[in-house]
Amino acid sequence: MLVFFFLLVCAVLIEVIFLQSFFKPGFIAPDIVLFLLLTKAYFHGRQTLLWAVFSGVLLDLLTDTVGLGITTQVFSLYFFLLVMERFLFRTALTFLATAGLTLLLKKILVLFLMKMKFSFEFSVGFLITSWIIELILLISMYFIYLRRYEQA
Amino acid sequence: MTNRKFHTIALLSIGLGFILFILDFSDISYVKKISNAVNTLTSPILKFKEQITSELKEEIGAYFHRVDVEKENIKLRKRINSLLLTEKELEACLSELNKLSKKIKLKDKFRKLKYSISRVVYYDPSGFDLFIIINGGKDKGFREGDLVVTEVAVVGIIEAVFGTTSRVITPLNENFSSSVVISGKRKKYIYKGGYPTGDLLHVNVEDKVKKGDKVFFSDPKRRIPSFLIGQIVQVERGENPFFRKVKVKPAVDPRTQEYIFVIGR
Repeated sequence: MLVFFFLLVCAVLIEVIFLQSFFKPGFIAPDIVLFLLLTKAYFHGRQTLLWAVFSGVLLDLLTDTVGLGITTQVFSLYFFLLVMERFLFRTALTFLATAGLTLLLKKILVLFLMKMKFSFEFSVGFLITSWIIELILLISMYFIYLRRYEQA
Repeated sequence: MTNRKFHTIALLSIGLGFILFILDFSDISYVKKISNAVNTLTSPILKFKEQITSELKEEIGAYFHRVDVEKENIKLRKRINSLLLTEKELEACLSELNKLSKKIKLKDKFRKLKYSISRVVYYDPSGFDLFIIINGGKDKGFREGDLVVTEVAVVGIIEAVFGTTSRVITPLNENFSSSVVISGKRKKYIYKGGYPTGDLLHVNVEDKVKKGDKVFFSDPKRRIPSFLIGQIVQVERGENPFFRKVKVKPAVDPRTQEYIFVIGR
């Protein structure tokens, strides 16, 4: 639990650094925190929701957008858990398809919420590219770490 | 976590988060204070990141610069090797020439040129290229009147010598004047500088001078080789009925030169 706490804080900091320096607007940035939450949720289920609330609050305080992080993190994880619980079997495809869809949904949700308050240039190409990079990371993470751990 | 508790926490968090975001909760002063306090804790990390990024950029810049320098060095090494070969060939030619002149009892001895390599450090800011400043002055033993050349053509003549630099007037400068010959002819003329073309003085009407002829530097002591000064671009009847008006376009663009040779007179 302490290790996960440490990892989560690190992930939030990395994401903040990404958001503040490399990608503007932020929905383009790779969603490292959500990666971690999805991994945790894959093994530990519903109790991960509290971690999502914590990470969302921390992210909000660090990026001066109170509310955005909590809403999107919790909604994404909630969606992921509800879908995962519907599957009778856990396979690579069920996890990857659900997680991939969750990541895309989160990006679109952030974009929607940001557009409600701010005006900025939006590029579909960037959004899709960022999502594809996330998918590649997700697939790598599943086959390198999650699957091995699952078998053990 | 029970079923109800799970759904309640999730939906409440989503709803609350949405409301806080819509109502600009982050603009409230108390929230800003908390946010600033959290940011103070993370600021060293962000500063560290900035430092790493700037250092990395510098390192990458230095690496690419070094790669360029390495490539330039390879090119220069090849050029030096070929020049050394040429020097050997020329030395062989010179010794042959000396032997031949001894046989035919020529009195002139072929002396080696005394020259230094220098670098152009400043160009004429007016854009007329009337002068350049070169590296080396009294420290290198340069003297007023020394000839400044490239491998084939005249760049100028040293007009003033300072401590570590010298001012060189180019063939575009009105103060530049030199003894010259036209290719294939033995008669000597005076070249007087000018912008954009210089003048060839005292060209008699009966002299066979035509457009396109090359004009070479002529050393009265016959010690300095005939470096190219320019090309005749215009031959007209002059105001004086005995002489022609001949315009010469200098061969060297001073601003294209970086390294030059200074030949002592």
